[in-house]
Amino acid sequence: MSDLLEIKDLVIRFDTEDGSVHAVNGIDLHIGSGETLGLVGETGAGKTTTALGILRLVPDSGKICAGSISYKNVDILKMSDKNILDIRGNEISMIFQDPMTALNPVMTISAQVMEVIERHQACTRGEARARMIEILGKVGIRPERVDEYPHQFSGGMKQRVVIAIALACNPKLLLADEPTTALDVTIQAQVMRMINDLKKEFGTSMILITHDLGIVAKSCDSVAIMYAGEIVEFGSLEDIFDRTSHPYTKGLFASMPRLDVETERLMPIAGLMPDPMELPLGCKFHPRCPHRMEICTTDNPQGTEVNYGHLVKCHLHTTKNGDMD
Amino acid sequence: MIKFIVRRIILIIPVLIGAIIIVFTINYFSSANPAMIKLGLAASDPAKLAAMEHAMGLDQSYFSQLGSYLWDMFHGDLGESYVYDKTVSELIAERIPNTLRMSIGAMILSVLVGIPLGLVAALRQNTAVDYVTTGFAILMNAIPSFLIAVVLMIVFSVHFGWFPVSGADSWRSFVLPVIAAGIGPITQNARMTRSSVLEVIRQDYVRTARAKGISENRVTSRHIMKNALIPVITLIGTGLGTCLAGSILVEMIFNIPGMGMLINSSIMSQDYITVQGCVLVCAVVVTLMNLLTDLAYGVVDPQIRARYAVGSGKRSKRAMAKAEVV
Repeated sequence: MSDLLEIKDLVIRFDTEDGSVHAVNGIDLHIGSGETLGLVGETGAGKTTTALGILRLVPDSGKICAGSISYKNVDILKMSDKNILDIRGNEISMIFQDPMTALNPVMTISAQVMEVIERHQACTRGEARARMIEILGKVGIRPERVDEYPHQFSGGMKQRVVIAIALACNPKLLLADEPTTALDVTIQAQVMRMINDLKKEFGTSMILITHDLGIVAKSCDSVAIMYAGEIVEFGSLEDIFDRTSHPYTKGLFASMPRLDVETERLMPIAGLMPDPMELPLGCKFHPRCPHRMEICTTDNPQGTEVNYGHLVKCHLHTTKNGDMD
Repeated sequence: MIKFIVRRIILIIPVLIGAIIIVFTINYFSSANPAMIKLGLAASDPAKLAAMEHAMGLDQSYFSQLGSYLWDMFHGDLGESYVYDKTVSELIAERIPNTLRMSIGAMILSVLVGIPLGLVAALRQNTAVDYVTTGFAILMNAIPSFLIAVVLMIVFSVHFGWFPVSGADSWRSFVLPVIAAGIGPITQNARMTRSSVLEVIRQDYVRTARAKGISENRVTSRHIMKNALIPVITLIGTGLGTCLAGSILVEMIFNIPGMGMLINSSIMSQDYITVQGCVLVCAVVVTLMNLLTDLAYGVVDPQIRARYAVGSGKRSKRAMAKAEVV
């Protein structure tokens, strides 16, 4: 079965006055129908930029320099402007990170949801309104509140509206950009459960951007670990959680608090993510890597398949001489 | 909402009284003697002068003069001109249509030209279009309206002969004055719109709108402009004040019999009661415009609309609490 979305060697750069920001540096990703892919990484790893790239919504200063994004075997990057408009919000839609700013403050919730329905579905105003009330009902917003403005809703409610806008046209692929980060912990679980239920109901694929490995464990089929604009490890949920291979991924797990192990302190990964304007030579992670070798400072490792479908970008796995720990 | 409007209209009254007290006081302490101005040559007779001073109430105290002026004002009587044989109200009624035609024309022009200019400059930020528009706006903003008026007159009336040089006989007489008075507000609206649009364009909700697949035109009209115009509305409102002030000079250059000319000639002939009346009328126009601006805010911004409604509700609750305490 061919993949719904396949990203190959995607490079996105931002040109600023101070220099080029290398946000995404040659990533490969694929996701099948109905699958959920977790895209995990620290702030600034290029996760959101990747998602915006899929919709061709990278801000003006950014440029998609190379690569291809094929959706149903058509390259999104080569599509006409009109065709991409037909895809946005309809086939592929996005749940944005910050619900407080993602909604237009001077339009009612109903108008904002109906806008996407009327754009993509051949229907009368009345039908669009019925559909709007239905989808807002699904995310738990009562019909009598739909004609209110965003400032009359709480953050969690706004996030539900953002989700409703994304789901209004039953998209094939959902890009969920940290859908729960801005929310209260108590609401987080609710919202995630709701997204998963709706996803199951509509058979939607999802790229879930997060830095919360707990959420990944609960909802994802496969996981991509992103670091400094590269995917350093990619595999099934079991691959990543049970056969963790990349030192960065190991570091992520080690820095997570655990209930079953008694530790005095958490083990953070030493150092900071490199400045995307001045990325280090060789492996981007080598300045922080506890297993650093000579070759890591000069050569960027290629992806190696350590077992079927489990890719790791690390010299420990490419070089035969690398003694595994 | 209606409560809010009523409250705001009532609040206009103290503003007007304040403006009148200031102008009245300046006039009172000025060296001119209205009775002498009114009598002209006959003022050389001390008996006549004293009689006139008594008739005009000039022998009374400052407070009783102010009081009677305010009392008459609230009854629609602005007094009689010292120079013309007319009441101040009649003089203003004759002149104000020309001034309003000019000021409102200039304001409409500033909206119709200034906002699109600013929008285009913002949407094409850092291109030649943007540089030319912004450069034009800064340059024109720096040139006073009377200088622009003279240049316009020399070029289009004297040289090309397209428009009359002076007077207020037909709509053609108003074309150049409206442009001259409107240039300042045009450039201000253009610059404010540009910066406001540039700010809105980077907002997350604009990205949300784009992610819906709607056309760029719709993103601009429904999502960008609706939000970007909120700060511009303030400027349009205060722009009428600017247009009024600008029209005083422009009227004199184009010899249009309006409020500006009236104020100018009244100052020159020490006809201070007319000046007072004109200031009052201008203050009314400006405060009404401010009220309209506030109401327009409520129309475009639901958050402010909600505050209006809540604001009046809260106040009445507070008043009720007070009543209970008493």
